[in-house]
Amino acid sequence: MKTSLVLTVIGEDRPGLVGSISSVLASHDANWEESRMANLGGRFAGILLASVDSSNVGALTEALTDLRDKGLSITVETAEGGVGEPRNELTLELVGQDHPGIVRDISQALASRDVSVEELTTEVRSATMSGENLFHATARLRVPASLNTDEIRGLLEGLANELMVDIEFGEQTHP
Amino acid sequence: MSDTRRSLRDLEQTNDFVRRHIGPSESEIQVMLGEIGIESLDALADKVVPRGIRNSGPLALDDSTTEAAALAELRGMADQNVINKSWIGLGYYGCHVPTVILRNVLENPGWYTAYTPYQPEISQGRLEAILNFQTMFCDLTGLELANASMLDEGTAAAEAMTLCQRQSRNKSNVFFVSQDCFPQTIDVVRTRAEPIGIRVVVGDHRSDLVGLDCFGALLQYPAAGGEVHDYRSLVDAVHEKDGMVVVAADILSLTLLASPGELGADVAVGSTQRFGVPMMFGGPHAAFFATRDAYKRSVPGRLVGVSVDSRGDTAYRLALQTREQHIRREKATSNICTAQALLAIMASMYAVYHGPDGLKTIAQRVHRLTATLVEGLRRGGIVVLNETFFDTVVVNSGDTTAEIHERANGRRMNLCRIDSARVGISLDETATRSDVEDLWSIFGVQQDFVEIEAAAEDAIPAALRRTSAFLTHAVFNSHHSETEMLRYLRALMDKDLALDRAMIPLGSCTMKLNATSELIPVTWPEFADIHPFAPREQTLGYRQMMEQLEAMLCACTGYDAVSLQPNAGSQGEYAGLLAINAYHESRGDAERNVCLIPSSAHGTNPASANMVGMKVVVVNCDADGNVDVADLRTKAAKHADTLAAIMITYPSTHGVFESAIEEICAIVHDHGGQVYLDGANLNAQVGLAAPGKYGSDVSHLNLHKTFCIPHGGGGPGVGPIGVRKHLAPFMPGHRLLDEEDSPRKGGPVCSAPFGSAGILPITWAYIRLMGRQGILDATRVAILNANYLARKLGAHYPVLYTGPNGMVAHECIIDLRDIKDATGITVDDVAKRLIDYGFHAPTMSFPVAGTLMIEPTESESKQELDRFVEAMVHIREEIRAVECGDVDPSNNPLKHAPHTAADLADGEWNHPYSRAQAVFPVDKLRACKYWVPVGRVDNVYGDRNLVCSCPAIDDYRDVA
Repeated sequence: MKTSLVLTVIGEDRPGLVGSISSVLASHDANWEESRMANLGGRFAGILLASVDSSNVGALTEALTDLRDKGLSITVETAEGGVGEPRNELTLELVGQDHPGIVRDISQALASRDVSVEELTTEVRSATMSGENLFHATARLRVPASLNTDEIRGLLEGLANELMVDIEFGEQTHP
Repeated sequence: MSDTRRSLRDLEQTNDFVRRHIGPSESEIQVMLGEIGIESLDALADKVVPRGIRNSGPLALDDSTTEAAALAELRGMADQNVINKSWIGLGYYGCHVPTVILRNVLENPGWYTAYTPYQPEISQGRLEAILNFQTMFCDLTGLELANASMLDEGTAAAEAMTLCQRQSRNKSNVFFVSQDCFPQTIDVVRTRAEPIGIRVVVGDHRSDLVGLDCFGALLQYPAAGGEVHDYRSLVDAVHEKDGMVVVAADILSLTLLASPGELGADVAVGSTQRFGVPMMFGGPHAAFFATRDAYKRSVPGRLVGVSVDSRGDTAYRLALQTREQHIRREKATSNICTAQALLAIMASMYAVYHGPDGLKTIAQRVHRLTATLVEGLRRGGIVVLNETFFDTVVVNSGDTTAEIHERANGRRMNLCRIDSARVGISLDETATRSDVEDLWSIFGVQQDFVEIEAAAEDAIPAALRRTSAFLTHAVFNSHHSETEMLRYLRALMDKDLALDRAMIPLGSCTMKLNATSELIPVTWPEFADIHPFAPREQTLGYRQMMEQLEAMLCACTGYDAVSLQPNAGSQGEYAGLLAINAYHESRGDAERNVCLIPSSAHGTNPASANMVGMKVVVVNCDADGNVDVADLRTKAAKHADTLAAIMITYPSTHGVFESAIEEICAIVHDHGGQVYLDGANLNAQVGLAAPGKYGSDVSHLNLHKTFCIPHGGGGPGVGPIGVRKHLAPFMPGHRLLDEEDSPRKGGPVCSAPFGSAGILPITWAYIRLMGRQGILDATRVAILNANYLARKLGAHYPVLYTGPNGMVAHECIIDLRDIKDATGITVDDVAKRLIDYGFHAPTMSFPVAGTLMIEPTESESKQELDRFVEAMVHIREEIRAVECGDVDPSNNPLKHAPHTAADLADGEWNHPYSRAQAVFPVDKLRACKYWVPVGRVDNVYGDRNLVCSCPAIDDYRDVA
């Protein structure tokens, strides 16, 4: 049986980072399903979905955690998602102060409520007028039907004072 | 001495002001034209502005005149205003502006010519003053969070309504408004509610509120008639139904009354005018907005917060900027940008000056005199209807009402005209014992003042007396001598960079000269001390001035009519779109609700469209930043049955005169829509082209940009709208103007009938001084200055977006994105480094992220432009050093900018560049240097550790 894992990755940006993750995955027969990664504020950060034989989860998790020696901090969550449970598709837009680890914070918060990220696009843009670096994210989420949009907003806005979160049903990301 | 006899006309110097307003001299203009390879200003205008939209003749304005003559004309009009003591109340009260504040804040360009404090390092002075303002209103209202000010009480109440709608767990569409609220507040709330589907129920809160299913309720405290109600049980009743409560409160009374927070209110709003800001015939004044911490993301307007700088020292900044940058702008429920910084600063300084005990003393005096007035009236057989009061009472005047108003006028007093049987009296800080005696005699009562005063009892209910402390912070308790106050004001002002020190080249903000002669009349008592609801015959001078101003603005824009009411640019947008809605409805086209907005638009546009219930459809722009006409045509056709309007900025937000503007207007008209042309960039076209003539139906005019009203460090702004004839009947009206010859049908968009009337003389004076030719010359030189900068800077940085002739309009955008990719140096780094050179940064990342937009205006001299170019070229060299690898990408003068005196004094200097290079990158700075008070402010820290009131006293202990 396969298990889906959500990995959050953060570390100093340098050549070969992605390679070190992919080789660990490959050596455990894990499949790199989908990912979004970026250089954020001089740090490399990303989230990725991998599937692996359930019997290999422990060894893989250990191997990934060991990458800390190479300057990569990786957390591994199981994306079980309650097979068969009805899910809603939502689009999320978010803006907040940029800081290393923001993707990890967000993805962990979502994972903690069994929200799966189908697609995540992030960008850091200089804010109009004030010029500060703001983190913008657009995501497509699959959310357990039991979770409503207010709860998701509350969950994310709980991460920081300034986070503005906007959530809508449906696939459309722009009007 | 010349042999030729000069004409007297020449010697009279009626053109003198024009050359003082316009920076470059005639010979410098020739040099600059040479630099850009154009022979004359005429040829420049021909090249930049599309031929089809050019004005065919001169503006219908007078010739220029001298400052003395213009002031004399204004004086003549001012003298037609009558200064009565206005005991009218309704949110506007006489007050004594502490003269140390009048002279050193309101009349001081160091405060009034500053810009909105987006660049915190050069804005610490006014940020501290505004933080004081926020602290004051947290204290007075008993709520956790207060914002940096609102436009006025009416709009603050309307914003509170929409906050409740967003936050309330009660999902009904009903908002209850007590009939005891100020009538103009009720009207503004109604205007705001209607297009967004909120049903406003106005009623008696004592009988109509309990059990009502509503998402929110607005109550006035004390009520318009002066009664001081205990709202606690009502608040509980609304909360039980999951609704929220807004209390509109009088700030002076709050020094004696239990706070709205203690009554359980969720939001408190109110005017701060009576804290040392003149009435000014209605504005500008700041309003406050306070609420609970839980609603911080929904608070409209700006918030000042505390953070730290690069040295770890306390520094202030605008907090939670993400609220302004929120992605889905068309879902915004508020479009407020500019607030009333200057007036908020004045009100906060009034509190700093008087302190908590001083304020309480003033409030107690006003209350004692009111109680004495009431006691005397009652003993004289007059029926005063109030059971409780603070400073306002209602008298049952019955048949004698008209006579009483007449007698009051005879004593040069105004009373509140409630109806034919009742008059209202509101005393204020200026009231004296002899005023009370005069008021008695108006009602035919003769009393011994001393005896009555001794018998007069407090009329504030015991359960509502204030017991909680307020203004306990040191700042409100240490500047009570005038010497200390003077130095505090000076110390704060000295921290800031305003137009009195250097060019502020902010693109799309038009930071031009705010000439002293234009500003002088603002504080003349004949303009400053007039109540907005004073009888018409007392305000003839104002009306004449405004009538002339409307005609001047029509001449400048080609429109047929102007409404001066909107008291900010955003309010103008809102008023203009409301007029479009009403026009469509009047023609049975109520289903027209689609608003086309180009993707390059300012964020306020979609927010305004949303506020009037329009559905935003975005029109694409092409690679040059121009509207994609094919896309426009497709979308206009697709929505032909429902097209309400297009909102377009011209010249575009990219600073280019799009040649297709006429075609764009025609496409929208052909599909039944109206054209809203955003007047933000009017400074590029006054005298050259008139929106009302080339296809637009309505525009707002930012008087604080094109027409010289100063920015006030973040307000006041003034945003009148100009419209073509068919929209004129739908401009904002006001209940006090219903008796006018041709009343306007639109609901009021702000509290006062003429908005910020008190600062309109500035624009009148500007246009009168410049005259027909001067206004045109200003526009042409604004375009010249921008093209000169584009040419000079273009040799060092890529310039984005030019018109078909390779020219820009009145501003230019330089692109730093490639530099960032190559070196890691960002717009922010360049902006902060400019501070070391003594400049305010240009506009950052608007309309394109990673760019700087520069608008020099016509008022900057060639010398100042060259100084700016020199700074930018030096900075380019500093960047090149990073590029070449000569300098560490993270340890260089750009990344560590701005450099403070404290940085220099550090024993260790861990930078590969010298201290001199840090602070004197060009030699001229040794003679005249702006020392930035803090290092780069940490935005992330400030938002993570959100504090929006003065830091605790403990932080000051080390100093004490």
